[in-house]
Amino acid sequence: MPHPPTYDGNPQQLARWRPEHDAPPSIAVWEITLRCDLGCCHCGSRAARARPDELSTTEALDLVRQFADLGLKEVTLIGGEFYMRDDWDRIAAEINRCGMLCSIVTGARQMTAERVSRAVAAGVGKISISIDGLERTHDAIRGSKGSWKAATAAARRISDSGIDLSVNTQMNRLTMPELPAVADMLVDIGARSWMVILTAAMGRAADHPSLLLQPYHLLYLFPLLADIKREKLDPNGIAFFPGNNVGYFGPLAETLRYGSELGHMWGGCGAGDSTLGIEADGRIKGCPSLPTSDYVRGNIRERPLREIAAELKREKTEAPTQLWGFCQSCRYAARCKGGCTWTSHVLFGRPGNNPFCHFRALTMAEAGLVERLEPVAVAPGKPFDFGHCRIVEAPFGPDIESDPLIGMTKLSQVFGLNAGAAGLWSKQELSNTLEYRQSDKT
Amino acid sequence: MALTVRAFLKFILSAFAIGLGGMGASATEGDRHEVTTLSNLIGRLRSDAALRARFAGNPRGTLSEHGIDPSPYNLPDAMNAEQMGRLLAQNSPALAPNDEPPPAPQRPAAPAAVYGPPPRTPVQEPAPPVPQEKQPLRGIHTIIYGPPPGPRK
Repeated sequence: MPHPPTYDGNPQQLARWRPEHDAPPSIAVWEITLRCDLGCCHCGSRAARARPDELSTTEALDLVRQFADLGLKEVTLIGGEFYMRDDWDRIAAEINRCGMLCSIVTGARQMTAERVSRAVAAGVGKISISIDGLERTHDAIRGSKGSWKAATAAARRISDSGIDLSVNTQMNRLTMPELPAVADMLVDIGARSWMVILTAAMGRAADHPSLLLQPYHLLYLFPLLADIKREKLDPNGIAFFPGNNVGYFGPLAETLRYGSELGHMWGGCGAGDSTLGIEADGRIKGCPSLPTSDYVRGNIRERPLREIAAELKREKTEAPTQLWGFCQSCRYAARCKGGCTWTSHVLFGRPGNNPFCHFRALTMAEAGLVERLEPVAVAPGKPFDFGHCRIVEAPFGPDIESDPLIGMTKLSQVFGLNAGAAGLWSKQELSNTLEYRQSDKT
Repeated sequence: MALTVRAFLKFILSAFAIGLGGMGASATEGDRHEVTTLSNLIGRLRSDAALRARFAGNPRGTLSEHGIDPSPYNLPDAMNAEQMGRLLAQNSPALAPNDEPPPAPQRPAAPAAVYGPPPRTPVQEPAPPVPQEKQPLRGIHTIIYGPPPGPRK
């Protein structure tokens, strides 16, 4: 029998949902279709058209019941774009009927009033809207002029509907200096929580390496996030959720990771342990972001979910990630376990060494060094694919602090941005950063 | 007469096109100048007390003087010491203000497995040329490493 939902409307409560080692995963993140009405430059799944063999309504509803039987507490519907599948609210209603929290993540290009009403009727508890910076930046990243206006209008509709509104934001070279403005907007639109995640080098993001942050940018990003949390989020009761690739164990970890008041600290990648990821054709992996080729462990068309989930759980215990590089000798290795599996795997083809770590960047800086990532192989151009990078160590010198991004970030960190500002980047700069590399075509 | 009118229209269109092209080039140049000087200006503020005082008294005006559009930023008419301190703070413990340039980098004495060899897994795709902006820093010795050999999970 499913566990009764414990979500009481306080986003901070979600941090308590991390299961014990012998407990089933608590959350499944389910790509119900790969069809999408946006063309985001960072999209790891390269969403556009539906997969040729996506689950039927009957199969989808059966999977919901399997989630409940397994003891999951939350199912998050994602895409592609969730509403591009007509039966999305039947699935959502079944999740609700089975006693689980149904949440949704959406780009909200066409999240109309009618769709919000259907979400309310289906019992959706939480909707997270993707907002990546100010209007000009968001529209450029999302590949659709007008998408920022559509997303912010949808956010207000959701907030007014009574469904908990959350916002999620990609952190990359273009959005980083605009994060304070996004935080201001959260207050304005009535968001209750904000999740930020580093754009990782998967899918279309791997085609745009200049969009990605470099590891040394974390030296500037983390203080910015801490300031935003203290000055803009906490006073307005907005919960801050750093994504699983935002870490780890640096001096600001306690401040940023749920404020630590719930005793929650990074405890290693939860893929397969606390989370499940489902692709639209029924393939199961431990986390929705993980590369299909290396991490799918079965398809619910062939095996029951319980069996696949048990295998994922067993793998987590019996075959822990082998650490290498900096992470192998890090003082936090035993607890951190190399941070986010997805983020490091898509850089090097295997997990266990994650240069996107604040503690690591600080340690390197103390030794007068920074790490830079350089692409050495391109991604083949399929959903959830990745290229290959190498790490180059270089001295922490004036060249680093003269990076234009750092000056812009500092100015917006100290003073904030004016309401109504359309963006910090010119059209030419956006175009240069998002330029599609011809060499990546396959 | 018809020829004259056509020539006149052609002249107008040419002038318009030149104007547009010129504007485009100017905007591009201006953008590059703007973002470059913003970081550099902060660097100069750290070492130039007179400029720092001028900036504190009139941040918008000083930014404009340096070709930086101040309009997106919520700047005050004048800055206080706390704001100036936050703006000029350097985020690297290795680079405190007014420090000597950092010494040449030194590798850990015993690199062990941390710095393993490049991957032996054959890379399927040809390596693209390293983009210009990704070139290692000029005149600086770099250390390159990748994942150690081993089976992919």
